Amino acid sequence: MSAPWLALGVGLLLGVMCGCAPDPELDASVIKDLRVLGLAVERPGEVVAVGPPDDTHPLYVFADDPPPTTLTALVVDPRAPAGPLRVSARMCLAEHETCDPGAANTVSLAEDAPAVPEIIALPVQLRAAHLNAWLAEEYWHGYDRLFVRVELTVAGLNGERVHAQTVVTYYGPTFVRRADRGAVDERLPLTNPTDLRVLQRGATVAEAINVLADRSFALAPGQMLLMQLLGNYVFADVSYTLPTGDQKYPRRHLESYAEIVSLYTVHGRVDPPAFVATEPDGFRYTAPERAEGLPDTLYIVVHDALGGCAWARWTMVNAP
Amino acid sequence: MNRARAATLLGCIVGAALPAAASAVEGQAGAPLTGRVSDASGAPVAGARVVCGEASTWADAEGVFALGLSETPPPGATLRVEAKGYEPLIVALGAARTDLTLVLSPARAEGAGVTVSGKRAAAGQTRHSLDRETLRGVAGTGGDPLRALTLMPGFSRSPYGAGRLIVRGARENSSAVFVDGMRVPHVFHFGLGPSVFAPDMIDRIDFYPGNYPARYGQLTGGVIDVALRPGEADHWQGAVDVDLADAGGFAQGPVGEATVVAVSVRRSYVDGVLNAGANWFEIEDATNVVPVYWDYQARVDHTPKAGSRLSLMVVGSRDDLTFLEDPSSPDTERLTATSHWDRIKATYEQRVGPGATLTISPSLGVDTTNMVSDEELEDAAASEDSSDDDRRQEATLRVELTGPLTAEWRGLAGLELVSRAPGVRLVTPSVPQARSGDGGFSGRVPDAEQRALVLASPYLEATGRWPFGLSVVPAVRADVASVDGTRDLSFDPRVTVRQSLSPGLTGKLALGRYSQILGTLRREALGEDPRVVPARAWHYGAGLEWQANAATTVTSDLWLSRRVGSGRARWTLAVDEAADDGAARGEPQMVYGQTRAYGWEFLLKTAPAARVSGWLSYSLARVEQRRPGDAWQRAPFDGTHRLTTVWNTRLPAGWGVGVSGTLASGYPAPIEGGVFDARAGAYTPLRAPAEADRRLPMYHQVDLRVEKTWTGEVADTVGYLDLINVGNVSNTEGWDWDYRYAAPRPIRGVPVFPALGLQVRFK
Repeated sequence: MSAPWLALGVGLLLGVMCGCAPDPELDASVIKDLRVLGLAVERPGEVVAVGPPDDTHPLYVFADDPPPTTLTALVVDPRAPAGPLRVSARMCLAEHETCDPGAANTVSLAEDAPAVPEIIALPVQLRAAHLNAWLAEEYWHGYDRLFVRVELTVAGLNGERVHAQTVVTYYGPTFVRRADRGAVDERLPLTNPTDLRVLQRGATVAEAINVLADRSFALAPGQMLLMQLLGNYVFADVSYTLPTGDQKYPRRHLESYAEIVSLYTVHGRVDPPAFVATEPDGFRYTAPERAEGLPDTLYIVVHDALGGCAWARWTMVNAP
Repeated sequence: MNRARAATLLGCIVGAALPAAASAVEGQAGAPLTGRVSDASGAPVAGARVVCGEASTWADAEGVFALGLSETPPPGATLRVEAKGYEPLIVALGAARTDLTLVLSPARAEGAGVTVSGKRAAAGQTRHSLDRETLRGVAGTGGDPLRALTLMPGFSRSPYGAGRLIVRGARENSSAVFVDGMRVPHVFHFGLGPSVFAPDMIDRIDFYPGNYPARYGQLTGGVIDVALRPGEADHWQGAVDVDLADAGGFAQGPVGEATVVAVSVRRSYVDGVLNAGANWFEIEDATNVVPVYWDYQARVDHTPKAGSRLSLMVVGSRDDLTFLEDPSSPDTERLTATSHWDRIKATYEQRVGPGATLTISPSLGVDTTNMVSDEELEDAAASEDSSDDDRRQEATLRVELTGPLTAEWRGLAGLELVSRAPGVRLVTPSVPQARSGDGGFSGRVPDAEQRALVLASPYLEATGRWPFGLSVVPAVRADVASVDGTRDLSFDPRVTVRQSLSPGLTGKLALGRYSQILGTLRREALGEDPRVVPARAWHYGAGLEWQANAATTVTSDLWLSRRVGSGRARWTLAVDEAADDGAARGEPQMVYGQTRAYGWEFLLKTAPAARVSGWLSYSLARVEQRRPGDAWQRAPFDGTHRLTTVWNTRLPAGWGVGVSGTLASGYPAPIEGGVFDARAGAYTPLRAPAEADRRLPMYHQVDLRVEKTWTGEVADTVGYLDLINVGNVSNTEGWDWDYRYAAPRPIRGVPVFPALGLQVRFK
C-alpha cells in the first residue's frame, strides 16, 4: 500500500476511533479579524518575447520586459472598517516556499498605505532581468514558462500581520499558449459589485453561483465527460518547440481549472463554506440568532488554480 | 559440481569482470574449531548448535563438534552455542581453538526474557544482529521483533507508535527491508500494526544503518535483512500465539531424511473485535472502517547430499481496509484499499571447493495495490484489460560465488538481475476537494503507471584478514538499469577496514558510495537535464567495538553522509498522446535535492547478573536537506538525540519482567504561521527560518512487560501483558492547526495501552 493510501486509511481509522470533529470556533468562513479573502494579479498569465540562449541560460532568455500588471487584494477587517493599513508585496520563484525579503532573488514591490481597506491595488512592473535571473535559477525551465510567487503582507491597525500569496505565470512564445484556446485571456474579471439581498431565514442561494458555473465550462462533450470523472479538469494542448527547432513531446496537459467558490460572512453561517463552481446546489446562508433586520455581509470569492480571482459582496438583510 | 564447473558457470554469467575471483577459488581454509559440548554434570549435549560468524555446525551424539572455518576468526570473535533445554552460551574466542570445553546451563523456565547476544561484527561493516529470543521479549513491542529492532541505535523514533523504519533520520524510501536478501515493499500491517513476520519464523535480523555490503543495492540509506528460520531436523514442534488483535500458528520439523520444513500463518480478527465492541457498547457506525490482515511464511530446506543445500521460501502479506458507508445496511457502498505482496524464492547452494560455495537464487514477486469501490470493481471486471493492471511483477535472479582467494583473502562475486513488469495501476475514486493546499491539483491521481525496468547489478567483494588483526573489505557494485530504453548507470566503490587494537578492542573505518537509480520514475524529458541524476550518497564511518567480557559489548560509531539526487517524485496529470485512449495518467516529476547528515551511535549490551540482561543505546542524528536555491533546513526526522534502554529480568516461579524506555528530542515542527493562498482560497503553512530550529517537545515513554511461563510435559505456555506507555505520558506528536495556522493544538501520542497475549510452544 502506497503512502497516500496508508495515510488516508490510518487517518480515517483514527478519525472513526477518536470521533474527531472540527472545532466550530475555528470556522474559516466566519470573519472575526483582519483577513485577506482574495488576491489576484491582473493579468495572471503573460507571454514574453524570448531571445537566443547565452552562457547562463541554455535554452533562451526573456528579451522584453513583461507588460505592467496590477496586484489586487480583497482585505477585510470587521473590527476596523476603515483606516490606513500597511501593505507590502514581494515576488520570487514559485519553487521557493516563501519569498525571503533579503534574498537577491526576491523582488520587493512598492509598499502602500491605503486609506480605504477592502480593495488594495499595487502596480507591478517587472523587468526582463528579473525573469532571466529566475530563469537561471528555475529547475523546470524546459517547459518554457516561469511560475512566479507573489506574496502580500498586510499589517493591521492592531499590529497584526497577515500574509497571502498567488502565482503569476510568464510564458515564452514557443509555448503553445492556452491563450490560443481562449483560456488565459478569459480570466474571471475583477469585480466588486455590492448587492443587497433580502432573504428569508435559511433560504438557499443557488442561482447566482450557477451563472458562474455555466460561464466557465463550455466544453465539448468528451471533455465534459472527463471533467466529471476527474473533478473539474480540462485539457489544453501544450506541445511546444524549443528555439533550436526541436519539437518537444506533443501531448495534452491536464490543467486544473477548477473554480472554487469560497463564502465568508461576518455574523452568519454558510453551508458549505467552499465548493466547486460546477456543483449545482449552491449554498445555504443562516443568519445569526436575534439578527432580524440587522445587515450582515457575505463575501463570495471565486478562485481558479491559475491565479484568476473575482469576488462579490452581498449585504444580507433577514426578513423577520 | 566441481570447482572448475562452478567457475565456468559463473564466468558465463558475469562475464569478464569476475574471472579472477572465479579462478582463484583455492587456497587454505582456516583451522577448524573443535571441542565438546556438555552440561554441568559432564553429560554430552547432542545436537547443540555451534555458531561462529557465518559458520555453524551441530554437536554429535557425544557432544563433539568440529566447526570448519573458511578463515581464521579475528581476536575477539564470539562463539555461540545453543541447545534445546539449555541457556545459550556465548564465549569470546581466545588463543585456544581446539579441544574447547563448552558447558551449558539448563534453561531457566521462570520466564522467556531477553537474551542479549553479542554484536556479530562482519568483516568490515557496522552491523547489529539480534536473534529471535532477544527480539521477541522486548517490552512495549508485543513480542514483535521488528519493533524491538527499532530500539537499536541508528533508528529514529517512529511517530505515533507506528511501525516506520526511519534509519538515521533519512526518508523511509532510502532504506529497505529484505527477507534473506529479497526486497519486500513494506513490513508492517497498515503501517501501524505488527510486522508481517511471525516471531517464530525469524532466525535473525541484520541491521546495517549505513555502509551496507555490496549484495544490497538501489538504496542510499540503511538495510534491514530478516533471516527466516530454517526448520530443525530432530522432531516436529510448533507454537500457537493468540493476542487481542490476531492469532497465528507455527510448525517446524523433518520430512524424510534430508528435508526440514517451517511454516507460519497469522490472521487478524480486529474486524470481529470492533464489531463485538460496537455491539457491546451499542456504538453506532463504529465499524465504518474494517481492517483485515494476514501473513504467511514457509521455508523448506533440503540437503540432497553433502555440500549442497536446496531451499524454497514463500512469504506474503495481505492488508485489506474496507470503508463502509452504512455498516448497518447489507447493501452499503464500500470502498476497499488493498495492499498485497507475495514472494517466492528458491536457493541452491553447492560447495565447489574448500570453503567455496556457489549460490543461485531465483525469486518472483507480485505486489498488488489498489483502492476501489464496488462500482469500480464491477467496471473493472467488465473491461477486457482489467485483470493484471493493478499488479507489479518482479523476477530476480541472484548468483553468488564465495570462496578463499589466498591465505588472507576471501572473495565474493555476485550478479543480481531484476526484471520488473510495468503496470502498477491505482484505480481510485474521484474525490473532489474544494480546497487544495497548493492550489493546483485538487483531486486524486486516478491512474498511475510504472514503467518496465530491467536492472543488472554485478558486484564484487573481497575480505582480507591478517594475523595481526587487520581486515580489509573492498567492494564494488555496478547497477545498469534500463527503463523504457533509457539507461542509468551507477558504479559504487566501497571499502571498510577493521583493526584489532587490543584484545577485545577493534577499530573500524568505512566509506563508500551508494546509488539509487531513477528507475521507474525517470522520464524522457527530465532525463535530458544533466541535473536529473540518480540519487547518490556517500557514507563515511569510524567506530570502536569493545568486547569487555563474554556478556558485555560496547560499540561506538561516528558517521557522516551526504546525499544528492532526484529520488522524490511529485505528481502532475498528463495525457499520453501516443496512447490516444483519452485516459489521464499520473506523471511523476523529479524533485532535486541535497541532504547532509552526521551522527554518533553508542550501544552497551550487557548481562550484569545471571537473570538480568539488556542494552542501553544513544543515537545522535543531525539531518539537513535543501532544494536548489533554498537554505538548509532540518529534515522531517531530524530527531537529534535519542536514548533508549531495554532491560529484562527473570524472576522465580516462571515470572519475567521487562522494561524499556525512550527519551528523544522532538522532531522538527517548523510551521510558524500560515499564508492565504489565493489560488485555492485556503491557507498554506509558513515555515520558520531554519535557524529558529522549532521542534516538538521532548518525547519520553516507558513500557513494561510482565510474563509468566507455565512449563508442561508437552508444551510451555507463556502469558504476557505488555503495557505500552505505562506512565500514560501525554507526548506531543504533532500540532493540529486551525484553518490559518495561527492556533496550534497538540496531537497526543499513544496513551497507556495494554497488549495481552498467550503463547503455547509445543516441545
